[in-house]
Amino acid sequence: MADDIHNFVLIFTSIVWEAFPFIVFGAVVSGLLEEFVPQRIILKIFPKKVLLSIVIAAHAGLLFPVCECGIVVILRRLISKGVPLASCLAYMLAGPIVNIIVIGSTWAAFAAHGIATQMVLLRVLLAILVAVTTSYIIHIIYGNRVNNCIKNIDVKEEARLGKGNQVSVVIDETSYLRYYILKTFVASRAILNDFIDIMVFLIIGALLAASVKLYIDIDRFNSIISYHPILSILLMMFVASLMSLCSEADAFVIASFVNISIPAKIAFLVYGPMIDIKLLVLYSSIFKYNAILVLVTSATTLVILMSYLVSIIM
Amino acid sequence: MNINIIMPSLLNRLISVIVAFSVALVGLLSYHYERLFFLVDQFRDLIIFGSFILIFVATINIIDIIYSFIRPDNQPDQPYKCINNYLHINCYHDELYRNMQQHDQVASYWLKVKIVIILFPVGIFVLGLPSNTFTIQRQLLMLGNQYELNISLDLSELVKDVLILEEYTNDRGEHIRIVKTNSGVKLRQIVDLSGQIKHDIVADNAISMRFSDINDAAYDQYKRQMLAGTTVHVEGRLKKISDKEFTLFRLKMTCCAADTVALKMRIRSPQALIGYSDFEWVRVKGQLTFIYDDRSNVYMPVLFLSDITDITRAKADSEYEQ
Repeated sequence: MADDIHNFVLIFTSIVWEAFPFIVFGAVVSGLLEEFVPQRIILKIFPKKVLLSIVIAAHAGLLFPVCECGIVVILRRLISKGVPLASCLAYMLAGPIVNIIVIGSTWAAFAAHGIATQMVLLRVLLAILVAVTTSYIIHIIYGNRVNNCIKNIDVKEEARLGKGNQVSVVIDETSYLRYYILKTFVASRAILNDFIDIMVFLIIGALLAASVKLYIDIDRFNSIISYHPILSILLMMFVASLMSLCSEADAFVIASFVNISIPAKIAFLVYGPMIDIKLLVLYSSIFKYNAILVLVTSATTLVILMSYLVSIIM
Repeated sequence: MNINIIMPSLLNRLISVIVAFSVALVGLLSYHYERLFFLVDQFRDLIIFGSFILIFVATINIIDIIYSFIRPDNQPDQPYKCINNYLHINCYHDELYRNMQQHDQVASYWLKVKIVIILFPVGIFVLGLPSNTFTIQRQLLMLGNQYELNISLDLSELVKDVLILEEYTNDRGEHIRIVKTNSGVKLRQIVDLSGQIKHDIVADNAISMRFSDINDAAYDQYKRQMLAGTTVHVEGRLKKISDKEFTLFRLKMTCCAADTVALKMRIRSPQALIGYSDFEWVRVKGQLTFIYDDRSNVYMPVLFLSDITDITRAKADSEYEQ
């Protein structure tokens, strides 16, 4: 028991402090976005066609790299600013995989095994496909009824349609300095509150993840993993969702297990950064439970299908 | 234009600021007292960066609070956003304004719960936790099942099918052949005057190698051929398997302790190792080879020691390899 607590505290602390700087950066970006970037500009970036907008958002990580924890903070802000939900979702799901840092780390992890190119390509391709399809499904189900899917966010009708200007500050217009100082104050409040909000969810997520991780080690599964393709894919997805690893680090963890088939590794690498214990808790800060259910069901089914397809083709 | 203003309770704002300061302070103190051993170096620097940004933001918040007191007309001149539950971006709605009193109470209740949760990592720091590595049981779990490899103890067995690298007779009249075996082990075969044959492991000048480089090389056929027969120095922890065979292992993390994996290799010693206990830190000098283990279907790095004195006690600079 004392041993378990000892390991638990170590894992918990390392998850929290590793994510801490990214949550601060995310909160700062979202606070500045809120106060200093007019909504019209944000909305103009996104194309009117839903599918096109989703596909672009799924690749946005290449320009704006994010990690799983940091993105949730920014996402809340974007959704409340009226950015189409489906596009946000595509960025949230694909962003942590489709970015230079994670592509690089995946490459480095598998370079020694001589399968770096195929692992990187498959991981990125599958992540984009799963993210785009899932976002489109959410779009079909919820469409414009964002409030059915999002918790608490009071999206103004006109804001969502891009008519209104959210920042309705009325001040003495002759004093621009004063205007910006006041805006900075408001932004700093937003940053502080976003930070506290997300830290709370992160800590709860890390508590859960750390307690589950005590009983998970891949080596134990290594002997169980049969060469049955679907079974090994399912098992690795299950392990990925329990381990709550960062997308930069998961490739290094899985690479050393040479007996696990490539499709199962791909399933681990695509599913983990989209759905795991820590992330589900963070998602629950934005999404209502029925939306999370749709999200999880869709992503799970897609990852299983696509990884199985990979195992057939290879 | 008529603006509805929600003033968040001053107390709640103050509490938020104090919490932010304490989290940032713990970040800085952990860095200063080198308590961030559970993160890799790059992430430690990020903690400093994040903490300073948080302190900066909290300071602006304090200025904001002070400013709200000294404002000449004591009248806020822009809509205050409902900051306790910031998701109510547009909380200057009429309806919300009417319910403000109630709303603020609920928000303030949740804020208290949040504060308790956020102070959890702070409390862990104050208690002086966590300690720098996993318990021995967990490290054993990471190591997995360690069984004896099927390595021939008898060097004369290895010498059967060999490549002769060098052959000479020394001043004592002993005939010496330096040979390389199939698996890449370099051996010295000494035939003395009475015709007796003796075998030794050749110990060249050792180069220091990183644990992870050796582990990576095991997966690559070209690197295996290149490195086999090299004499290397490696640091790690010791775990006995049998008298003359041990596992040398070391934990490696990519980002943080949560993604730790155990790197391992085998040590084959000509004599039994006495006086060392399991999990002791050692520095080992030996000849590197890679031996195929058909139970786990991988090549395992194996160090052949020429003598038991090639193991010395030595602590690596860090518990984890990065």
